[in-house]
Amino acid sequence: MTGSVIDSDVTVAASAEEASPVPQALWDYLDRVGVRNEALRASLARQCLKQARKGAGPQVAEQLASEAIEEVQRRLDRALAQGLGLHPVRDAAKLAGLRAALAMGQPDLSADFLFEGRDADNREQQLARLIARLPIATPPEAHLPMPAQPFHFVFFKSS
Amino acid sequence: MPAATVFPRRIRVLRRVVFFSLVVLTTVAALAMIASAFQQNGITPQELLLLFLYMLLILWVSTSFWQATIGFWLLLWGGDRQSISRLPPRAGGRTDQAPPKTALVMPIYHEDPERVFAGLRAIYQSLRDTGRADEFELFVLSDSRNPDVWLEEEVHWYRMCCDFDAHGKIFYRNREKNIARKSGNLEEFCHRWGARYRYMIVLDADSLMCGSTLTRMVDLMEAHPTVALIQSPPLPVNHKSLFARILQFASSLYGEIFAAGASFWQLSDSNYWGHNAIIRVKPFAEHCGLPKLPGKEPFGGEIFSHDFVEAALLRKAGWEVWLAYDLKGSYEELPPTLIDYAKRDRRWCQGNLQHVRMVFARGFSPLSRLHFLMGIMSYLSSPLWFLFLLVTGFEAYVQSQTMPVYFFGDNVFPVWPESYAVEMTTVLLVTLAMLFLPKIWSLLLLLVRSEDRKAYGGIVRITLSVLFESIFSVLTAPILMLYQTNFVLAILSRRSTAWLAQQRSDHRLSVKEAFLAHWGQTFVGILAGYVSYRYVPSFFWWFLPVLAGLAFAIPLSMLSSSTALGLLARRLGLFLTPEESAPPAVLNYLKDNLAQAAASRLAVDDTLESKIGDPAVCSLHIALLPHRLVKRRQRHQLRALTYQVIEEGPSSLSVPEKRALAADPDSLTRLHILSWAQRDTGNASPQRAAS
Repeated sequence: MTGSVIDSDVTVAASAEEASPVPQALWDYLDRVGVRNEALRASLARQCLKQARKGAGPQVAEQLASEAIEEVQRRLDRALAQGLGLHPVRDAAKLAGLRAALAMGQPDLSADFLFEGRDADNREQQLARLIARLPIATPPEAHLPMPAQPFHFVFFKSS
Repeated sequence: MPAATVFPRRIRVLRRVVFFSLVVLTTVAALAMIASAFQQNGITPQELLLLFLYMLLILWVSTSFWQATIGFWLLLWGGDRQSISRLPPRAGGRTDQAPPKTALVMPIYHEDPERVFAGLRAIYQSLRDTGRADEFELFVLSDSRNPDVWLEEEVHWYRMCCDFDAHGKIFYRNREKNIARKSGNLEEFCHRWGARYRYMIVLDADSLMCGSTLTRMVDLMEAHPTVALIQSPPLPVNHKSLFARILQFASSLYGEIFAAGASFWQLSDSNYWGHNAIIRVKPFAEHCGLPKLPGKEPFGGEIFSHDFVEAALLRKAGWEVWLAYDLKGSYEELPPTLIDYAKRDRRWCQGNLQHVRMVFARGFSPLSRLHFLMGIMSYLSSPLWFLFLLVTGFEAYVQSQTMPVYFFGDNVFPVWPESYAVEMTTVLLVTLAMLFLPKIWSLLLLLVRSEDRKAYGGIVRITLSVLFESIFSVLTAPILMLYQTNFVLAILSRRSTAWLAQQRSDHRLSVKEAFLAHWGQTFVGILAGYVSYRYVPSFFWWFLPVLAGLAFAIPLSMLSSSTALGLLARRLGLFLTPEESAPPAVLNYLKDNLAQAAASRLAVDDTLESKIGDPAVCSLHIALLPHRLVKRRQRHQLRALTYQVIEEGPSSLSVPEKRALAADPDSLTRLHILSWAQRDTGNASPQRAAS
């Protein structure tokens, strides 16, 4: 694994601490999970970085990026859980499925509306589209017993 | 036990009497001829052995010959009126309580996900063209262990669901434990979801079926409630190597008469070939659970060739099993080279020889036992032919060394030793005729089918193709004979084979590969040639076709693996099949899907690390993982493995270790975040400033 690239052009302007550069990995990650709106992406990046720095002291860039990406995931899961009325722990698999749907559903799907609150345009429609793309790997089980058949052989040991 | 009208016993008995009488009479006639020749100078022990071997072999050859001949006769007169597809619907019987849905199930194990899903998409596209796709659900039953393949399968599956807007109609399951290989895979499916479906159509990883064929199979099952299984005859398609194209041509041209002939005498007691068949789920689940056989592999343990056994169990329970020889639109792919073909034979050989004890299982019908015996004989015939050639050579040597005695006792008149060259030549010619006449029957059949004639490239090209195919099969038969002899001996000495993924794509064999695979056969060919030429020159010339195949095994195998030669033959119109000259929609769909997949593949980084690092792939994988509790000790082990990946890379882990990590959501999430954070973004991404 190689070291991350810190982009000196990418800056967060809100405060001295926030003026430090946003790791490119974090920026790309937000893009990959479906945050299309650049202003929103920047705002989220700032918030996640801030959260990542909290209590962790000075960190190397890679660690900071990891913590921030973890925070992105947490926020995305929280937004999805709130939007769809899911439990963040019990429905972890479903949330992962929705994350996958968002990431694989681009450009049709975007995660922006999840962070834009209840006033987001076409929120209900977008939620419906997202739910429609939720991965359903298997249908509900409908058991049918399949007992092993006994074999009786004439010249061989029977099963 | 089904209660509806069963297929009339009278017809079954009559047809079988006719068929087996022809087979037995031919065998007896050929044996009588050879025995009378031997008797002229008194039968020696080696001649007795030759008679016994010949009896077994000619029985096998004449079974095949009469099957083809009857099939030819039926097709010449428009087909069999007693085939399952022509029988009127049979009313009565108990109503199947299961919902009238059909599951298309595809068990896979370390196959190329791109090809698997391109094929599955093609089938689904063809099914949608029928307007009846809603009656079906697709199930990919993966047994793949390698996380690389596992993750890729999931992505292909999800993309397919999205592309066809078929969420909740196409399913994917990766089995946690591979118990009992393919039969265990299907068994788990029946156990977990069997009650959802009335029928399942079992596909192989390389199966292709037209939508109209799938719906037709369902209709046939609905019309015949006493039928538990209908097997469609899959035609090999798609490969471009010379080897595969020759075999595709042979199967396409000759296969129909053999299938029609088999259907003639088997009727409702037919067999199951493991895929491209529709199965009534409830009786299958009730009667086809397979136990482990006592003892160790290769004869004990899990049942390798489960299909024959499942068909026998269904028949034992009173259900009908049919071969719908006239169902079109069912396809599969062949191994692309002679070596791959032999590798597949190794597994099939073990599976079929394992059926020895099934022949002696209580409760099976005589015809089920015959199916097992025929399966065994399809491999045992090779060592029998080999032994037959050896004993014939030895006999020829003995004859050449024997000084004729003209005068006995005080008799002054010489007693001339009687030559049996005429009888032996007749026997040889009769045997050869039975081997080659089915090819002629197929050619003759084309004379009355003008459309087919065009599709195969016209009568001149067809005749040339049959001629070249015959030469090719004469040359490769001894190679396969030695391979199969070797396999049978290995299995008899209790050496089992591993469950390996198959090489299905076209690939040219290198000199090294061909040499390593065929040096033994080449050596045997040259040695046998030298010995026969040196000691029995008259025998050498008869033996030449067999010797040539063995001596040239290496170049033959290499040349036949060539795609360039295969395509050249195609340009010349040789070995052309209707599926090549006018491909059905399902094959065109497959071609397009493969092209699209290849185009999108170029843009994707293919390592496991990059797959785990990708939020889409990783999230999808986590979403599909079954919920399971991890013990504290395992948690520590997983953490250690995670750090091993971070420090030494994924290549430092074994496949089971990778699988353990890939099966744990926490470890995976940790790896995913680290992998993304440490990725080299370079300057590829547009650089943005946060406001």
